[in-house]
Amino acid sequence: MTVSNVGLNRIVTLIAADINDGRAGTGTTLPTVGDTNLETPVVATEANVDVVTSNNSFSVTHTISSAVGNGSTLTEWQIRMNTEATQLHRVVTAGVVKTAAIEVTKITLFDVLGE
Amino acid sequence: MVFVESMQFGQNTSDNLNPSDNTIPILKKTDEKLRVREKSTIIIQSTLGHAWIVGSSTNGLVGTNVATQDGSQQVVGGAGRVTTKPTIQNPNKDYIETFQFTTFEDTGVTTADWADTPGSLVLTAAEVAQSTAVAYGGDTINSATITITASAGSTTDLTITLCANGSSFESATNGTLHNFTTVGTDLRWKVVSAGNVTVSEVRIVYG
Repeated sequence: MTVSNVGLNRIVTLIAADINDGRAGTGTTLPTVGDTNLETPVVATEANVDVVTSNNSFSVTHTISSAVGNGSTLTEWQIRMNTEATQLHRVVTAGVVKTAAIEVTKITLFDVLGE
Repeated sequence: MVFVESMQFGQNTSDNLNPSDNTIPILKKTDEKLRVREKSTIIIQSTLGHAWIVGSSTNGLVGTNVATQDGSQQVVGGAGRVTTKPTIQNPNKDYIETFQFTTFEDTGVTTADWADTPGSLVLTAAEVAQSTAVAYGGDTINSATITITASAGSTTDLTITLCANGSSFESATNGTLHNFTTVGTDLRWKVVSAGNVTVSEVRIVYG
């Protein structure tokens, strides 16, 4: 008995279709599975994300244009699904000082596994 | 998959056909797990590059394309853009490459087929696969263990090297901890094949 590859691929497709957007923030507390939101969101950084699937993997790309989030040091990053109601993922990184001279792209990769 | 042995001790079973014996019944618990595995996160920072901005939707009209004064075409938007990746991090300092995407392919060096067929890195004799940075900008990387899984051919045909500073590649052995002579914060891997090998996964645990 096992979870089939085509089943995993279908699950990835369903997850990908449910992902809406990404946001960034300035919080620095390390993420936990109990997190439901960013610690300190910078609302202007909210943008739709590009989700690309390949078999049991998917990548989520969130781009923050040069026009938004300027003056903030972005340290936390979020992916939301379920019409923005549910946080799928939050990660904390070294800070990026956001200015009008740069755009910032954040990519996160995932697999769905059957075990 | 989990197997649960129950009623293990002192249990005798019997039926109407034979005398009792010491058969131990084993119950198979048939739960399967689904897991979403988080992998790498990459932060990319790009300057804007050259731009050409029309400041008005009424006065800033674009006419019919004609040759520029010096006869060359002007390309707007791409030139002058500088892209850097200030942060690449992996959960638990565990990089996993399954070749579904070309995110980490160093296209300037790699001659093997990286994810041409999703899920595989296909190398023939003398071909090379090299990654871009798979971890960058975090703590100093002093050691790493690379584990390469092949779905066809043998990993013994691969010459494996790792580097921790982006340029100083050091010989490494599949599945064996490597302590870097030159440490750094820019982890990359490279393999050169002596035969036909199809790799399904490269995993590097570093610290």
